[in-house]
Amino acid sequence: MTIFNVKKGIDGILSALFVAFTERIIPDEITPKCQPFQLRLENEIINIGEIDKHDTDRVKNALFNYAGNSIIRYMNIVLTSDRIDIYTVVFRYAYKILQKRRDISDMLADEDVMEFRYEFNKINFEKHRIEGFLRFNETVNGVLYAPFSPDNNIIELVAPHFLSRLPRQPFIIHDVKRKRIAISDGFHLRYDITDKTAVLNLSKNEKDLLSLWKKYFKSVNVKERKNTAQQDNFMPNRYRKYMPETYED
Amino acid sequence: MIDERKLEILVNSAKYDVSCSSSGSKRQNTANGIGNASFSGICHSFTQDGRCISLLKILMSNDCIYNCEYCINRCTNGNIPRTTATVSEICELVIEFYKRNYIEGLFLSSAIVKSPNYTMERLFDIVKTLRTVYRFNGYIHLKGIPGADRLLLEKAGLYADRMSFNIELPTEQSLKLLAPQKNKHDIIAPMKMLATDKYFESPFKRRKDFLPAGQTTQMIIGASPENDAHILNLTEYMYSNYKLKRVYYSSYIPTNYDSSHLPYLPTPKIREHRLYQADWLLRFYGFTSAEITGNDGNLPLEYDPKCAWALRRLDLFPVEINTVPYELLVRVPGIGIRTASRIREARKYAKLTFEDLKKLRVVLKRAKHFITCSGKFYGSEHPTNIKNLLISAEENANAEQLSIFGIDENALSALHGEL
Repeated sequence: MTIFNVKKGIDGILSALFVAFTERIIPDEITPKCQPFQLRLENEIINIGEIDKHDTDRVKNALFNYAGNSIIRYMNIVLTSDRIDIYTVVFRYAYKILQKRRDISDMLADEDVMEFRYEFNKINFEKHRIEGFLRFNETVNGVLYAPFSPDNNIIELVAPHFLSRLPRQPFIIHDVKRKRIAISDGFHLRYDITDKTAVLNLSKNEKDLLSLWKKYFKSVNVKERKNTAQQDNFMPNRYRKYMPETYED
Repeated sequence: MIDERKLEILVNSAKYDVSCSSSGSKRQNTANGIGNASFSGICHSFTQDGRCISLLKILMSNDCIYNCEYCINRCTNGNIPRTTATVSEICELVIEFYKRNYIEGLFLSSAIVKSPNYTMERLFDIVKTLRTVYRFNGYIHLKGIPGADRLLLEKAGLYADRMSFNIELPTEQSLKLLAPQKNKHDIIAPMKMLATDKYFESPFKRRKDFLPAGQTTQMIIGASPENDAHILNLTEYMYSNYKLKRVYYSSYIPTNYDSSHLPYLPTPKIREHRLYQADWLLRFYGFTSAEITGNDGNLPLEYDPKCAWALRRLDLFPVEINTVPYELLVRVPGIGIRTASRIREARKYAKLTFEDLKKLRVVLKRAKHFITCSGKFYGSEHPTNIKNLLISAEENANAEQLSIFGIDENALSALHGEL
């Protein structure tokens, strides 16, 4: 079994594609350097080092030509998945585009295409959910703070949505699981890594509004139509940790 | 800021309105404004009844002068406290909730206070203030008040994303019996007017900004004796003539045990569910209401309306999945719009097998009786057998809904605002 050990991110995938085509080696697996993997005797591990930008650009251009301008954006989105073999999924999809020399997104009976599209839809679905389920708390100095803990690493997909909704309003979105934060000063977004736990000094209004929101959540429910199975289906438990309306009093 | 007690009263009186979607509008944020609208709509939470919270659903007032027998806010109901919210109370609440990402916008309705015109003016004040003073660019769904002046309704259409007039009951006769102060003309005329206004010039020339998310309506199921065929005929008529985006159905929940005209028990939720399925068939699958309801006028409760239609038209089946035209493909039970387009894409490259269909997420336990795949047929040939197998497939599907893992197509369409 041949394993390509590549640099993290889209550049790693592009380098792997370049090596695969120039050296005529088809890897069985692609792993990013940051991710530990199990060494086995039968595995041949090839370390893909720094590749010249000119060469990765050639790969990128070929992908653009065959599959349209959005392909790199799609690959970046799929790479945010937490699936352990996600680099392999993205590589196989891109490899097939270069091999077939055309857009393959509608070849749905093909397993590689299905896998890629499945992951793509899954991430977009979670992004869409988080855009609804994220909850901001207002702090004394007027900054909004929202902790969350998504399945995939989607903070960069989610934050721009809130920047366009809340311009001139400073906010922080905190992926607690991955220790990543998105900071908006009201005009621009910046991303960072943090080990700190937020200690919130909430604004005067915050407590009253939270209790109004809880009251609303309780009152708008029609008791005669109880259907918690549907509630669980649409709003899985794992997202409720940061949604105060779902806490028991 | 509004106090908790007032909020509770006004929300309790508003919650029987079914509409919850915030889809259909691409409103952008303005300079110095707050918020925008997401075209697919966003659900922000789900209550214990399984319904989503997308908009802040609230009445301006529940102090009604009408006496509609099925309604909790009827003037003769002495069991509920009455209150009215001010413009600033509602606007401030919307902005504060929106900032914290609790809601996508406002769903504003009201009981009839003093007169229809008086009420509509107050509602108009709220949406205008929200848009111009608070510079709110999120979603606003405004209930139109039947009988209000045409000019007021047109002006409101410039600030709201969506408006709706509730048709309430499927026939004029039932409306006269249960809501004597309302009349069919007052409900239908503004729906017609807004539908025409959206597409043609009027004194207000900003047509692009006029109700970008169109209009919807709602009717109560089971409070009056009309059958499903009647309801679906009316629905079909309204979709084609008033350009409605959605018709909502609300199964009757008793809130008035003193009336001799109303049933004592609530309408089963499954009837409402089947009507929604039939509604989907009308809007997306190219069915007509006559095809869906068949001869007896009611939808079968034990399986979905598409299965019922297919069982009546077994002469058309089985169809070969690799060659059948798309229009018939979407009519196969177990194949929805998304799956049908996946099949249409995939079959261009290779002949599909049953294994491929599984990968494409076709619900084979329903579809297998109606399709062949490269000439192979794995279903049952006897209509009675098919019927029984479809019923048991439906029961299993209901059991599966309990699962909280994985991506469910229903969840996806709910989040995209279709449900």
